[in-house]
Amino acid sequence: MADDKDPDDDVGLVKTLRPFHVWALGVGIVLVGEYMGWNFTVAKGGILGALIAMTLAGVLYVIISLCASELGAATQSAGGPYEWARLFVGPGAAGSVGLAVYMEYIALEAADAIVVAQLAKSIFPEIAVFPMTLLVIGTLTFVNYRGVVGALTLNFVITMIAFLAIIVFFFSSTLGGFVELNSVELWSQGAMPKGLIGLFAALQFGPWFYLGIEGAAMSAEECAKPSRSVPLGQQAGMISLLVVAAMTLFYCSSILPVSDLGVSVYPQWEAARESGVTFLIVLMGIGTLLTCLASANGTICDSSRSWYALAKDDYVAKWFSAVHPYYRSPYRSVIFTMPIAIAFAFSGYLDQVITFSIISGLLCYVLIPFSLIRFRKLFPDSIANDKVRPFKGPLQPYIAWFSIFVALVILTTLYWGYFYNLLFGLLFYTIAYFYFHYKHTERPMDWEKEMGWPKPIHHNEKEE
Amino acid sequence: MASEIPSDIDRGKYDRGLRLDLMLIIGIVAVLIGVELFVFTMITTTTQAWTLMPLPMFGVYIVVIGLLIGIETLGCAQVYRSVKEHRFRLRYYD
Repeated sequence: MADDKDPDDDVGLVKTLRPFHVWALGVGIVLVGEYMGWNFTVAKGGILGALIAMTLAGVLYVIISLCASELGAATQSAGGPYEWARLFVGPGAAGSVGLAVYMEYIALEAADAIVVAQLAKSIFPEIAVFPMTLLVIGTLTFVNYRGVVGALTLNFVITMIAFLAIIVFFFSSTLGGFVELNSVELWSQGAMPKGLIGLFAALQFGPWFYLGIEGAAMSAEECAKPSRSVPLGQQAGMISLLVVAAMTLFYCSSILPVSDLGVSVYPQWEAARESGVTFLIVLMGIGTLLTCLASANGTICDSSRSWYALAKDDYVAKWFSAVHPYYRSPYRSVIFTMPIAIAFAFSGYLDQVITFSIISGLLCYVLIPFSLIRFRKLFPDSIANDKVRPFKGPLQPYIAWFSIFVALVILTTLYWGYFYNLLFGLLFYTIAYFYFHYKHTERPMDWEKEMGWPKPIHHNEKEE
Repeated sequence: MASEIPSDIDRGKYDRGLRLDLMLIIGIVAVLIGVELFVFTMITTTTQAWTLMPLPMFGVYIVVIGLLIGIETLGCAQVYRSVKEHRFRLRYYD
């Protein structure tokens, strides 16, 4: 072959995203957790278990999102956690976390697509779940193939509708008087049905309220002004989630008894149905459908960027790193999400798939703050100029250490009910760590050439 | 500093942009504090949570609530400070 260079190599990703796109990506992926899944905290630990799990997981995600904002604004790369681990930790951690991000989002995409198909079937019984799931995955992959601006603008619209639906439900029940709340009786009966052990067991489902918000920073390479868009969009997204999580817990637990709420598949919709208010039933039904679509759409965007970044550095086949010459999307990586999502979707083990997604996410929540700790150590304030650190989070690196501790506590609570999933997940990522570590032995990094940064502190020390 | 502002910058547009960012940040932080404290107070007082769990554990939980609101508020203040500091050099509102 005369020249094995891909003709698309010189085309970069588009750079036009704004803060509302970053919000749409982050909240779009996560909001589905407010519509379903979060209520398992109630099943395990009652109302107080859910409240504690929501708050503790909230602290973890606030810190993770601040770490991701700082790292994303600094590196301005599509690889997100993979890129941060590659630059500041090492190849083993980079490869593992790159795969973890990919698996976390693909598994969520598969789960979302199945739920959309099941919802469609419940409305139109003649629809078959299998082809509908394929249609959802195929359509959203095509939307992402056509480019990130269209995909995230669509996500903004549908996420905003689902987001406003929760706000409307909350104010209808607290201020509007449309919905009769039975807080005193239901909360007193279901405060802590399984005692103290239930409070700890509930922690494992706390991440459902916010799982995936760190992915908002993966749009950094495609932002017009990443050092403003990423921190602003991501923190606005994080607060949006904290607010709707608290609202959701408040009104759902004031309408449905703990025994029903804990096992509900669509708790928002069932709470609306229990309220008997027609416009809320319709609104929450639409919200449930839209939020699943938004989540699947966002996860395709993020998982493809993680795969694209892995491919660019030869961690997986370089062929996947091609950028579409017209749409300027990493189209081969986008298309490659489809067969993997379909395989997950039809494995027949939806709950196992979701648990694998949570375990993959928790691995990220250990490695993201650790990457920030290393970043701060390699580039302390004395040498980190505005280009290295345009956004600087508060109280670092102390809160990063704290978030690692919280992530490990939540990981250990998976022991209750998901011991083998936890064991398999840890084994999978340990093997991945050693594989990437030995395949990509650390090369000397030219920070000036690759990042336009000064040499980190340990290089200076060696020279001295 | 005025000397760092490029001459072709529309100062009025930049002031408006920064003011909008500030209003957004203050607005979302206010909503966060209001909603979190409302839900936390309603649930804990209705269930009398401090009688159901060991008191030190309830105390730790109050600290966690404080951390949640405090860290996010500080984070948002840092976002504003960062935008204000780099807005001209990185031409945020062009």
